[in-house]
Amino acid sequence: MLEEGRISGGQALMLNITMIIATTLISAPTIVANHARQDAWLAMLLATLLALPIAWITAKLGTLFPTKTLVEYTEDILGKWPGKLLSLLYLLWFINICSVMIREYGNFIVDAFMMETPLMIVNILGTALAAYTVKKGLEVLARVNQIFLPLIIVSILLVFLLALPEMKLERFLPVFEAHWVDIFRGAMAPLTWMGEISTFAMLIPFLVQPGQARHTTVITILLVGLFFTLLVVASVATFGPIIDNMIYPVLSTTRVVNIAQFIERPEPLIMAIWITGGLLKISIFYYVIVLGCAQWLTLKDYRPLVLPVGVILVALSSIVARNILELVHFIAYVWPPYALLTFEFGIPLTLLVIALVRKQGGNGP
Amino acid sequence: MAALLSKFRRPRRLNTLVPKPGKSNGDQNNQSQIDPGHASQSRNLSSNIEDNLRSLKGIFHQCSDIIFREFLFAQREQIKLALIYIDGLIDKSQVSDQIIRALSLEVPVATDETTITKKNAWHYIKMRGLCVHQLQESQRLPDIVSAVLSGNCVLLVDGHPNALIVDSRSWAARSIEESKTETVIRGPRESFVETLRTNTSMLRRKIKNPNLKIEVLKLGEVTQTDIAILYINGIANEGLVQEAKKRLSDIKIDAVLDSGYIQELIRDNPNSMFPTISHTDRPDRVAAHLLEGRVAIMVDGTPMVLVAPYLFIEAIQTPEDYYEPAIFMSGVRVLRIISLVIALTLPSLYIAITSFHQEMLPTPLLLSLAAQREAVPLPVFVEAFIMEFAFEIIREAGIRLPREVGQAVSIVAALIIGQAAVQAGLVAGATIIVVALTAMASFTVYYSGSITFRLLRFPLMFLAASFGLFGMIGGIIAMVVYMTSLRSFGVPYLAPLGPTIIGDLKDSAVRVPWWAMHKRPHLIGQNNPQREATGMQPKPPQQKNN
Amino acid sequence: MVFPIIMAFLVIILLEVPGLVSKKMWRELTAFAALLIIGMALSITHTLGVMIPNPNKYIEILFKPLVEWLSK
Repeated sequence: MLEEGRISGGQALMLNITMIIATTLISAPTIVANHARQDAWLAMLLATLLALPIAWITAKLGTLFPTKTLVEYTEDILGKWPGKLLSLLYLLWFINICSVMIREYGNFIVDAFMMETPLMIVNILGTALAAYTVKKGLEVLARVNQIFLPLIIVSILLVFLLALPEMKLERFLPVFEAHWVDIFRGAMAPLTWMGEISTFAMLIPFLVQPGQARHTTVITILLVGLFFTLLVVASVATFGPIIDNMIYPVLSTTRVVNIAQFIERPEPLIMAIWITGGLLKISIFYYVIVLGCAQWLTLKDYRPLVLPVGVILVALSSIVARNILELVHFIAYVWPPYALLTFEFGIPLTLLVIALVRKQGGNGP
Repeated sequence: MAALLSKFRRPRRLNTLVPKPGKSNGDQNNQSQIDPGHASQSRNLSSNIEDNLRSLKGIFHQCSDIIFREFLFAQREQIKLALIYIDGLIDKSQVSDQIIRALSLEVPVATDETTITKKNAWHYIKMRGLCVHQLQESQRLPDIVSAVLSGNCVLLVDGHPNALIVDSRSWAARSIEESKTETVIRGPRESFVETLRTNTSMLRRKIKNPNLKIEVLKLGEVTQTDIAILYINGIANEGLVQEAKKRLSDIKIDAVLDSGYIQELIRDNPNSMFPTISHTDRPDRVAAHLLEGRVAIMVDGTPMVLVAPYLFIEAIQTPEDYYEPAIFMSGVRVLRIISLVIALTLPSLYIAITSFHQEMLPTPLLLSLAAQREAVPLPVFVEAFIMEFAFEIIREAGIRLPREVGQAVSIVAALIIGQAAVQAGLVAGATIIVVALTAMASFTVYYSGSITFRLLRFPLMFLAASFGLFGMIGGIIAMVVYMTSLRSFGVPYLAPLGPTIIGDLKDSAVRVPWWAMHKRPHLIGQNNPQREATGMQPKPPQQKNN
Repeated sequence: MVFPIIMAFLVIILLEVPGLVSKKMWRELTAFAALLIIGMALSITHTLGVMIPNPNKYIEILFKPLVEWLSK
């Protein structure tokens, strides 16, 4: 095995949670409220429900091939050359998302906090830090995640707690104003984010007990769904349906915090959350890319590939969008149908059907 | 040419500055000296006492403190005895009374003289004559030499090749005092001294169990320092003990003067600036560590005892935490964690916020800081760096100061740094406060835990000055990633935070009361996880049925 | 602007290649070289201002009808 490390169920759960929420928690409510307006919370719940099948498919494929990652078992299911082609497409897909994420990451830091710093510097530094983490291996990544994720979650909850005085329940009225089609549209983007759980397929073999994959994925979706709903509820309660015009509603929420004129504008907290969380998420996808490349080329070690892949990611992060509007347009409108139809849902479903029809794989332990 | 080549092919020997026997061709005194570590040089004593004395006198030539005392056994002219010892390392009254007097005067009184012959003299001496508490015998010359050098007396008997080694060690040593580096308000005050036997006896008094194993070995080719490995059989991990013993026996160095030498030679991650082996001079700490399943290494000649493995969380743990009530000490623990964070990040935070993120400060504070910064010519980073550096100079000087000049110098330093710099307009008052707070914060943990952070705040300051808060947080993340990847004797360095082990969190940021600490630390005490019965919380007595 | 990029590449090569060569990992070395060349090409051309086609644009074209429906 390329990776000797093993992660426990709890570590995998936390990795999955970070994988999904870390970069979305800043701008999630906007995209949903765009369609669903003040019923955005409904859209979130719908998305959670619809994401459960994706979680189940990922886990099922994982238990059918308990010692192989996605890149490896596509060859088993489809045969060597079609499988290798599909794996390559998957790798390109991961590289695509990762570079978009790095772009998002740097964009937020530069837009909100350090306006004079060139975007590329932040991207390069962030990717370099992620490269360092990835080079240390999966176990280190999982452990660092265990250290930081609780801090991130607590900080977000703290921010919302502090903003409580500004929240009004009337902003949710009228309820069910949006058409169900709009709610469905609003649920697409969160569904796509939650669908990123399909990336977990690359990590299932490294669980100490691969049979736990099903629990891990389902609980992840439920927890993430809960958290997103909370996020949306807090944002809508603070501002009302106008959040569809804000780029960073959670940041704006921190800006209204004002406790006794002393605890004002805890923005550094958001910055810290974003830097750590975003970095961890980038590291996870970066690791998946590097591991996938090494497995596709059947190398003995993935570590030498870390730096070149980093260069590619940084270069792409500058190419994928020319400005923030294009970026948000891509994430909100282009990505959901693209991702869902293909790599997150469509293809895994097809793979699972083929595998079951060909009676492949054994039931994992 | 062949000689040159052969020089490279021969396995390297340590250059211990002790010439090997037979190779000292141009040696003036023509005495053969023994390299104590070289096994093939073992020579045995002969039965003739004159030969033995001659060879020993040759080995100890020019050692003026080695005394050779020849006397007779039981007043018999034929049975010569010789006593060899080092003046200064032996208990003089014991040697005179219990060896010389017992053998020359009291044996003839106690037994019938005629039964003593040269042949059974040795047996008589060993079993009937010597009134000493510890006795060994040996025939090998290196053992004899080593015994004499350790402070024992060696008794040679004419006509017998076996020598008797009598333990009569006593020398001037520092008495047991309070620890100067690890002080507590509540708890035992004694600390280790430089004598190995005294230290092991202190631990024996704390752990009265035959499972406390103390294994000794000698390290250091020239110094032949005694090292003791301590562990509790049945609690300590077998693999850990074996690994520790293996690493110690692999050490080949000429001298071991302090446990620090060994620490650098056996640690994981030798180039890392985070210590992975701890050292302490308190017996209660060592005892507690041994009871958790760790291994202790004692070195003769230094009070600092090494304990392996060492996890990062121990930097905020002190022995007092376990003696005072849990609630108070949990608060103190939290204080220590905050202090550590302050010690590491406060200067960087200050630099980052004043240079890049001024909007994060509340307005009144911002105005006051801006006013101060107006008056100062230097950029914040340079100013903070100079002040921090100056404080490090003061701190280091404070350790080396002779006591007499201490007072005067500290006043001058305080005046220079504090008053004069601010009044001259070189430094802002806020910077002084930051530097002082950082310094004080780093003193809340014991010295060894804080040196790393003292050093690391300088790169962090640089990162903060270059990239603001992003740089600082990135630096901290890089540091955490690095720490997570370290292992100390196989245990992950940041456990129980790194791999989150819920059970071990009972003793991290908080200290749960003793009735809740049922299990030993998970990764270290696997051999014997249960340390306390459940249900030990004090409860009011149950109502008893009649 | 191109010069720091070339410096960065030299640093990357210096960091990785000696280790790979000494351990005789030729496959890994070729993969490393291939990926690095792709990365270099992308970075340098992008820095020099050459417009590199954005893959996301093509994806958008591919899924145009759904994108339209979603953004109504």
